[in-house]
Order: sequence, then structure tokens, then C-alpha cells
Amino acid sequence: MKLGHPEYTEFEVVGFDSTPKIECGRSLPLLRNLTTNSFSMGTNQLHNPSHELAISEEEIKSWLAEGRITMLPKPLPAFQHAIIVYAREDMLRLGNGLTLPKRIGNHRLQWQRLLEHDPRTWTTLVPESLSITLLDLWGLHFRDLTTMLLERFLLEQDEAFRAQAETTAEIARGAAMNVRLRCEIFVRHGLAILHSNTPERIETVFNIIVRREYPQWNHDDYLSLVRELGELLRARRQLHSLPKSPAATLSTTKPDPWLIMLRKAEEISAENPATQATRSEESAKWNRSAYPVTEAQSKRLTARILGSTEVILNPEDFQIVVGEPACYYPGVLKRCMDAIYLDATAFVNAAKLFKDILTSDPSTHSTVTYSIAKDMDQPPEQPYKITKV
Amino acid sequence: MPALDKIENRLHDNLDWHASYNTNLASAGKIAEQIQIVHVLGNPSTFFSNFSSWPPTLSPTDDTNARSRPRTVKTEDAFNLGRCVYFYAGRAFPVSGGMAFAFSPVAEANHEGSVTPFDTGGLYCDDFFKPYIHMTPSKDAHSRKAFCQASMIPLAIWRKRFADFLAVYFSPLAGYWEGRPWKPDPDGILLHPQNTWQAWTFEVRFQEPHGISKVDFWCAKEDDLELFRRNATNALPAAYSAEFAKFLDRMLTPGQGTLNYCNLIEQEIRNRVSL
Repeated sequence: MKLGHPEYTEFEVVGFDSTPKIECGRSLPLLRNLTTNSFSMGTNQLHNPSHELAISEEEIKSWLAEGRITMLPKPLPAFQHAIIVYAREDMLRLGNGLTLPKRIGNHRLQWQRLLEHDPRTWTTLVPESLSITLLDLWGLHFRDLTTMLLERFLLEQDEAFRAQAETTAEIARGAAMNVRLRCEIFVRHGLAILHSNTPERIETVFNIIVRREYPQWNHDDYLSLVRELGELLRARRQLHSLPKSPAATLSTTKPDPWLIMLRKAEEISAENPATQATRSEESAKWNRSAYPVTEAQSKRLTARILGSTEVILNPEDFQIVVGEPACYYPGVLKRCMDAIYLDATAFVNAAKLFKDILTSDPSTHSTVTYSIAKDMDQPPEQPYKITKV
Repeated sequence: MPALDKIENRLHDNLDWHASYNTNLASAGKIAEQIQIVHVLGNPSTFFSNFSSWPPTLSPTDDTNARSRPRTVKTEDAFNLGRCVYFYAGRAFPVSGGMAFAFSPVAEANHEGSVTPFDTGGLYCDDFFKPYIHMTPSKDAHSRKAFCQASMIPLAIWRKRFADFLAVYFSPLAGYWEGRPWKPDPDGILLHPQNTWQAWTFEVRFQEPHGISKVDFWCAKEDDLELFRRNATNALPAAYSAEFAKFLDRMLTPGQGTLNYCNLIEQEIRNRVSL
């Protein structure tokens, strides 16, 4: 069943479940059956009396008044796996130039403002897979913004930067769906709290949020990761060399894959180019041992990337990518992540840089990685103007 | 309960129906014994706005503030239900809010209340509110009140009636979640083409507040969970953190919100009754 399938032409999306609660998020669409005037939530249970509501316009008004549903100013055609994504203008204002994307890959996004009840919120209707992409894109943006604010705070000790970093980390957390991305955001959020006037909140954050998603972490793991990130960001800002020896960093008592991977990625991004190639190879090697990938799998991914105009990596693909040293260069990773989430052409261009690595003899990895690293230096940071919240 | 009045005679006159009833009765009995009742929070951000103490309680409707729906209050008054906390037996529907809580049968202990084999709000009608449960032949407000009174089941015995209702009207039993009843009831409700799930889902009502800490398992919409966690991390006193942790431990998807929180909670309920 696809867009325009007869089963969906009987329905239109007139609103969505609940009301926007945070800066951005997703909701199930509220569908109206144009023939029977009954309503249902989501597009997976069409024509099922166990999931339909035969209700009156008065009831709709009542639910609207209670905030149980939100109506769209203009109904939209329904399609399979359709999801509403909303974005508040607060998020755009705090996003340092963030705008609503007009397209993702080949999919054009049509945004409409919730005029009557919430004029500062915009919504769009997208396939479910793209809703995740869109939220991860915002999560990435606010993760990077948080990183920048934390660096500025650590350098200048201006509380305004820290406070805003805490806010942007929460926005990033509210948006991001990707498990690795969330992991990075949690650590940045922890760092912002650790330097606040109430650092004890970090324990509550760990117990209420972090431990729930990463049950294998303990509080000490989290705290040490947060502190290490602080040191690394300070070092990156001041262009210092490694704050810790690799051996000391790797001697974790609980070898949780996410913890180790995160530490390595953060460390490598703080290193100077001369040591990046070696360290990236180490990280990739570790991941290859943690997530064994066959040559055939690598080749299949390469073929898929290079042979397609629109590619979105799934978790299995991601395991292949993190086994490649190039993944650990901040510029490479960012460009590829942007490409994955933003634009198919950019993704294919970035993927071509992986081609040699994905298909070459492992013994040549370091050489290829080094040449990519030169090509993919991080772009110069833009001056950041802080906005008072 | 009109839907089950003289059911033996009706079954006796229809061999297929009788056979299906006999086949399903034992399974229906097991489902009815174990099935969770579900409360979906209408507005979680309001309910969890105050973390100065923990746990909060689900409160009966209150006509003195805007929290309660006018239709619900009018229904309670018209049908003499009293002020209630509402649950559905094994079902959840997203229009009700952003967090769904499932309670096991033991949570009903020490409560006064009643149950009907339909959503009472859908049965109610007046000059403003049209009914969304249709009857054949059509009945006026006065007759609907009488029908509701006749359908009322005491809280203490509702599970037995629910077992009978399932075995009589659903074949297969999963139709309670996935489809609709397969045989007619005397009041022309269950097979009425305009009626949907609210016409055959059991509504369970408690007269007293109900502690959220008694929850068996729960899940939430993504953004509701995020807002809930933000509020909790900023405002929950340390003294309540252990109790709060127990509550979080009962989340169906640890640490993760989901758009399909209602489907998920229904699926878990069905898993637990092996359906």
C-alpha cells in the first residue's frame, strides 16, 4: 500500500494525537473517514472497528479543548505509515540559524503553522522513517550547538553559556532517536549540570534518565565520562594534545561497548591530526572485533551506497561503518551523518570517500584514512552569538 | 445485564453459537481472571506537574474544575454513576492522552465501583451531546438511562460477567481487541454498523482515588515522557527518589517513549493472557 492507494483515498489527516509538549516531536495522525465520518488514530488500523471512533463534531471540539487532540488548519491526504512531526519556533530561535528543512532526500516537506491554537508551532506529515531522520537531524544540530556552548563556557567561565548548553542539551535529547547520538547528548547534558550551582542533580539525571536507557552503566561510569568530556573539550578548544594516555583511558573496569566507543570518538576528535590516523584505526579495529562483519556484508553496503540515490543507514549498516577508521574523524563523521540524514547526493559523495576503505585490503586502511583526513578537515567554527533565553 | 439476559435460550436456538461459546468459555475465564484494566492519562503534563510529593493519585472526576470533561460529568449525573476514576478492561485508546497505565486485578481491592459492558459516555445523550453508541431500535435519553442501570455490574463480580460476555460475543476471543462481536445482542448495539469499540469495551469505574504506584506496567508517548523526565529531574525531592525509581522500573520500554503506547500496552496485556 503506497501513497494514493485506494484504501487511503477514503481518509484524510485532520489532526494528531495530543498537543505539542516539547520543542519538537512526533504524533500519530488523526484520520477522518470521508465516507463514514468516523475517526481513527494512526494509519495502521484502517477500517477496523476496534480502532475507530464513531464520534460527533461536538466530541471532537471537546477533545480539542482538553488538549487530547490538535487539529490541522488544512487537512492532508493520508498515506501508509504517515506520522506528524512538529517543531516549535522556540527551537528554531535557540537553534542558532536553524530553519525548517524544505526537503529530506527526495521527499519534499510541507510545513503548516497551527494557526488557531498554537501559532508558534509548525507541523508536517512524513513517512515514519523520515520522521526519525528529521528528529535525529535536529538532535545532531543541538548536540553540536551544546558542544560549542560547553567549549565556550569552559574557556570563558561565563554562566550564560553553561545555562544555554543545558537547555540545548535537553532539546537535543527531546529530539534524538539514534541510540549513539542520545548517548553523546546525555554526556553533554551531564557536563552542563556538573558545572551548575546544583551539580547534585547529575545523580537524579543518571537515575531517572541515563540508567534507564543504558542499564549497564553505573553512576561512576557516567560521571567519569562526563568529566573526561570536560577535559577533552577544554583541550580541543585550546588545541592541546591528549589529556590522558590512551592506555589509561582504555582501562575501563566495565567494558561496555557504548562507553568505550563514545570515549574513543570524543578523544580522537580532540587529538592532533598526527595521531588521529593511528587512534582511528585502533577504534575501528575494536569495533570490528566487537561487531564482526564479513567482507560480503561490507561489499553489499558499498554497492548499496554507491548504487542508490537515497540511502538511510540501519543499525546493521552502522556497525559496518563504525568498523572503518574514517568514521572516527570528526569532519568525516559529521559530513557523512549530515549526508545520511539530509541529502542523498551528499551522502553518495561522502560514501565515495569510504569506497576505498570498504573495498580495500585492511592493511591499506591507515594510508587511505590519512588521505581522507586531509580532505575532510573540520570546517572552521562560525562565531556563535548567544541568545538570552 | 441485558446483553446476557436469557442467553442460554438464545444459545440453545443456535448450534454454531452454542458450540463456539462452549469452546471459548474456559479461555475466556482465564483471560477475565488476569486481564489488566487500563487508565490513559488525559493530560500527563498537568497530572505530573507537581513533584513535591510522590506518588500522585488518579482522582475521580470533579465538576468544580476544568479537569473533567463536561460529557463525563453529565453522564455520571444522568446515570447515577457518582464521581469516578475510569479504566477500560484490556483496552487503551490514544485519544485519551499520552501515558497509559495497566493495573492488575489486585489493584481493585478496597475499591467501591461499578462496571458496564460499554463506554457510558457513548450511551449518554442530551440536547447538546449526541450518543456515539447506537441502539436498534433507537432509544431516548430516559430509556438509555434505564438500559445503563440494567447493565451495571458490581465491581466485585465483573470479571465473571466479562468472561461470559467474551465467550458469547467474540469468536475468536481476540476479536475484543482486533474486530467486533460476531452475534447480535437484544438491544441492537453490538452489530450496529455505526458502533465501534466503545460499544463493547468494558468500562471499569472506581469511586475513590487510585494510587499510581500500584501500576503493573506503563508506557508513554515520546514527548510526554521527555517532559515528564524534565519535570522530575528538576523538581523531585531526593526523599522520593527510591519510590520514583520503582515506578520507572515498571515501564514497558525502559527509558523509551513510543508513539504506539496504546497498542504496546494492549499487546502486553494480550501476551500476559496468552492471546
